[in-house]
Amino acid sequence: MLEEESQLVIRSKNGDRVAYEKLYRANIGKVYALCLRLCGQKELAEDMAQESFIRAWQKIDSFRGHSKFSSWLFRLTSNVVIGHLRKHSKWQVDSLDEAAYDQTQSYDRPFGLAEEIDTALRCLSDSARVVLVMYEYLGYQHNEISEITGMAIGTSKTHLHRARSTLKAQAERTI
Amino acid sequence: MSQDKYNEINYLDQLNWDIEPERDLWPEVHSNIRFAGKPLLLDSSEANVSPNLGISSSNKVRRLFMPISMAACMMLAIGAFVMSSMSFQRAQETYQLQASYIDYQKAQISLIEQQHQQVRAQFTALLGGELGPINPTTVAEVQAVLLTIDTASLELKEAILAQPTNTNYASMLARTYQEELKLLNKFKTANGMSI
Repeated sequence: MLEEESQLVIRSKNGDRVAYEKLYRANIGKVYALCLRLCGQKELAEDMAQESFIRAWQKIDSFRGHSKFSSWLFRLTSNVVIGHLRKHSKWQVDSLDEAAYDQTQSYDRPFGLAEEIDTALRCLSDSARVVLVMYEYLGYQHNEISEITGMAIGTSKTHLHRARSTLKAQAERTI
Repeated sequence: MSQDKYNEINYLDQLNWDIEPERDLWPEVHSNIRFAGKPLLLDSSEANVSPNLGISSSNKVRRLFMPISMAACMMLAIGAFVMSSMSFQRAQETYQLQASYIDYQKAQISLIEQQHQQVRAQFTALLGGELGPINPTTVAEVQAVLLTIDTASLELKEAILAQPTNTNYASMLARTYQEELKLLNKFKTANGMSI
């Protein structure tokens, strides 16, 4: 952790909101992007990012500085988003819905690989998208994903495999 | 780009992972944290764990501790409820006892008061000349003593009204009447009267 960041964390722990705003400014882009990739909707992603920073302020005393602040914040953010999705959306913990993967065939094709992947990602089911982002981007293992999301390890692996296949198929179309 | 190259791609790396939201979220975050405290972490899922290191042992301990502490809290709550119910019942019983004692005391005082009024009326009549002339100086002295006794008994009655559970006032009033009665008997004996 950078010296300046650690100081900001200490000051925030002492209730310094100016310091916390600096931490917010330094991390909002990454937190918002993570929320956006996890939930696939702009407005919901904004709400989730906001909620994550409020929750982080309330729980910052539990951050002990063993990892980067952003890593801690990402974990907290993913928990906030997953908690919301589990409560408000169709969350697949056991069986897989094949239709969720077929949806990726039906959207209008955008330009470029990044746009293609972005759109394909948004068309995945919530649970498949979460598994893919947690595994590929955040570096979680399947047992951790299972623990956090409540889905079986096998389900997590299947989600990942199929989500990867879907993205690969979409990427190949742009070649 | 070749097909092999695409197979090696982590597709998510193609995406932008640093995106500014369209609106500034800080004002709302700030207004929410302004009055928000910072409670201690109880949810193990949001603890300080590096994504690649798995759940820490302290989290496992905390997870185990949670149901135990919740059960202990429930037991304490039930215990407190039972204790407060019992003390409430005791207080109610004490109150009922006190109320019945006060009623009993009032009845006793009323009886003593009635007897005292009868004695006093009879004696006043005697002093008024019912049994012949008495030295006016003696009468005046006795009346002054009776007035002092009346003032004292009046103050005691007020004290009893203010503190009905205080038994001292009631017994002091009874003693005052007894002393008055002794005084009157001495007076009557000295003057050859009988009540």
